[in-house]
Amino acid sequence: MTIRNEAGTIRPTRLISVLVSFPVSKKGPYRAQVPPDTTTGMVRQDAMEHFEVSDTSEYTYVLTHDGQDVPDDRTIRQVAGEKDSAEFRLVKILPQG
Amino acid sequence: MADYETLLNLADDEAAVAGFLADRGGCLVRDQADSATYWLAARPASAPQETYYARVTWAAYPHQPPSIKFADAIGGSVTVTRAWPVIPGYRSASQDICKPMSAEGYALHPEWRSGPDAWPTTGNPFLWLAQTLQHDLDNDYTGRAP
Repeated sequence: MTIRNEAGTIRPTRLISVLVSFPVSKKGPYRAQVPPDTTTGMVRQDAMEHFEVSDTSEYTYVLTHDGQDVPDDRTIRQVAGEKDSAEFRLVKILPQG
Repeated sequence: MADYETLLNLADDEAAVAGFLADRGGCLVRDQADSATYWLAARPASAPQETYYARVTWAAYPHQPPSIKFADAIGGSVTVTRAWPVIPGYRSASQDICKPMSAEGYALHPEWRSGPDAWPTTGNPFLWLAQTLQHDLDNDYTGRAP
């Protein structure tokens, strides 16, 4: 893939493979190849669409990576580091009684 | 005693749970006396020296949520307050998890039984439960109950 920067220069960029798992879905994991500057929020929304779930006023879903919640404003580059892939889990934040 | 369908469904799903917990430094043990009861050992990311033991007892898998109690060891007592982690919704005093993930929680909140908080029955709910417990330990844990 190539991207054009502000100076108009075209340069190649690598894509990063992302995988999002959500065990209580009829569908398998969400997989995509995304540019490194894609935010995790964008990946979360695409994964939720894949799994046919959505945020409501009562609860939300978050992406976790290595067990920790990942804010929506992180980029895939920040999460993946030097790796060419990043794995996430989609977690529903449950209400408490 | 759980029915045969429950035991077969648990047998199908338990390997993924065991793999997940092992990756996080924990383990899964099936109870020797009751095949529908499992002991999950898990550690908070912020306190890996602390291990918590959840006894998960299924009545009808995957159709109903399990009873969840914390114990002082695998196969140990489930009446020890200090066996519980301090996490919002995890109530050591009443020894229940008041969230839509346990039989105790659904008993306290019948309104959760339908709608968005209903118990999930598709995919691998056992793995979902283990991941939810681990997520709470990793992100909302503040210590061991007094």
